[in-house]
Amino acid sequence: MYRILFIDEEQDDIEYFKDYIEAKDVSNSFEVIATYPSGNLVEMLDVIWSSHVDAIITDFMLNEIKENIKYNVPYNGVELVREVLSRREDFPCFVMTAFDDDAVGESEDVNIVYIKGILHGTEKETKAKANFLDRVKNQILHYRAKLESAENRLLELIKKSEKNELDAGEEEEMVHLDSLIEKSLDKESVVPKIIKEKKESDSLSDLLNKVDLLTKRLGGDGEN
Amino acid sequence: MFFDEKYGHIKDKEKVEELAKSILERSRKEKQEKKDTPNTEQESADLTNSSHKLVLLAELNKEKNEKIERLEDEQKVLRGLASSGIVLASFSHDLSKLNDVLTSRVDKVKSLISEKLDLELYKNEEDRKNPFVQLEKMQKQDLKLQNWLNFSMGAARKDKRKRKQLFLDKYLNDLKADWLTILENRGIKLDLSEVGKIELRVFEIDFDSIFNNLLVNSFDAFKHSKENRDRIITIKAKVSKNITIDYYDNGPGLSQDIADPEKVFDPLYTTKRNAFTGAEEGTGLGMWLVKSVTRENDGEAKLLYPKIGFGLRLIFPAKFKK
Repeated sequence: MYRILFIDEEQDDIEYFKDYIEAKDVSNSFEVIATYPSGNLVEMLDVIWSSHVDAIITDFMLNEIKENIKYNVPYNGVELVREVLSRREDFPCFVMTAFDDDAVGESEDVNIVYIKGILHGTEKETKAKANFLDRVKNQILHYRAKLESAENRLLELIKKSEKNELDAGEEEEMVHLDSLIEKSLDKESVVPKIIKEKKESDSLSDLLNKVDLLTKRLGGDGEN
Repeated sequence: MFFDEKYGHIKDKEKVEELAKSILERSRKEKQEKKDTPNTEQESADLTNSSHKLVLLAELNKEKNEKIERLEDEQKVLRGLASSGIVLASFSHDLSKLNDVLTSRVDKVKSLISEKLDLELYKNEEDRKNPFVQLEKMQKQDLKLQNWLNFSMGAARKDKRKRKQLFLDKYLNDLKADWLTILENRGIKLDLSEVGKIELRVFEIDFDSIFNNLLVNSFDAFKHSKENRDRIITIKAKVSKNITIDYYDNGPGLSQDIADPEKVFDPLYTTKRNAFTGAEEGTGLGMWLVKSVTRENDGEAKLLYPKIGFGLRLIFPAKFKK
């Protein structure tokens, strides 16, 4: 099952999107949640994280039509995706736009930008080319695979660390993988606390030593 | 003959360019000769003077050529836009037939369906799966289409091209009605409460050029508004020594990135960019049209710099008043 979040400021377009998914998703493996864009980016990100979805699909121009929302939306779909990706690398994100513009094809985000016309049947039904929904599914699968391999590697490193066999590079890799998984799955950190605690106590005693040294010096100065 | 007419200006340009080149070369040669053969002081002064003049002429010619090129570019864009206007005008008959159909077609389908299909059958369905709700939606869309058709068919109407008495408040209220769907749909308030009773002798089509361009710019600006405030466009007009018309919107205003805001009046200068690629997207004609149409009517267009949003003042001499 794939949970996807659709963001658009127009109810009509939300309904077209649901119609589209219903028509294309023959195996019934998609669940669509839809929402209007929030009034600020921070709130919007909260909505995204708390909805626990596998992918987001957002309209591009979120601040144009004011029939269903009355407030201003100070970001567009591309800016939203940029924010999401800066927090979760490679998270499946897609932008839909009504602007049927050649320029979209030249954009840096060529793989994530789609023309809204596909919701109304403009998508070419060729066997060679995957349709939009196939691509969403593939992205989700890629992302899941990436997380899985990260998780496996992390477990491997943890085992090594228990035997005190980690070198500095591996230790760094472990912290990186840990935060990747932590962010992506909202899981509890899987790195054993011992390591973090060990590191912390090391640096604490280092600090204490320095303070000692400083006090001694200051004391020495005072005597003079 | 046809060739000459069509490409005459290119030939002229070529001739002028040749001439300019020869002038430049001659002046260089003269300088050279002056170096090679020492002349009397008077002779050399004359020579310098005349060659100086020639160089100036050549420079002037180069500038003119560049201006002609710019004007040709402008003309190309205008020709393209005018052609689409012509197509619309020539098919206005077909379009108005379509327009009529739009008024009634959904009602027709509704009544046909409801003869055999009970509305009640769908009462528990989601709206998007209820054909009657969908028909209602289509009717609304048809109304929007009708608005656009009326708008584009009305744009090139013949009587708009006659100079006649224009009652500013009525004109602006009609304009507001034309744009009402868009205004409502984007939550924009157009405030005309401070437009005085003013009569002007102008072409209506000229005022369309001014206000449609200003409105279109404001609509675009509101999309990029970051501040959370109601969207308001205000037009004020009064007569004293002159006729003054002020136009404001409370959108994001002109970008701070524009070093010289007055440049917005230059032809082919555009600030509208593609949001994905940053490529220029506007025609760069809107504000230039506003300025040149105003000038043509002996008026003046000036940027105002309100604290919030965009502002423009149009000043027409009072002779345009009735």
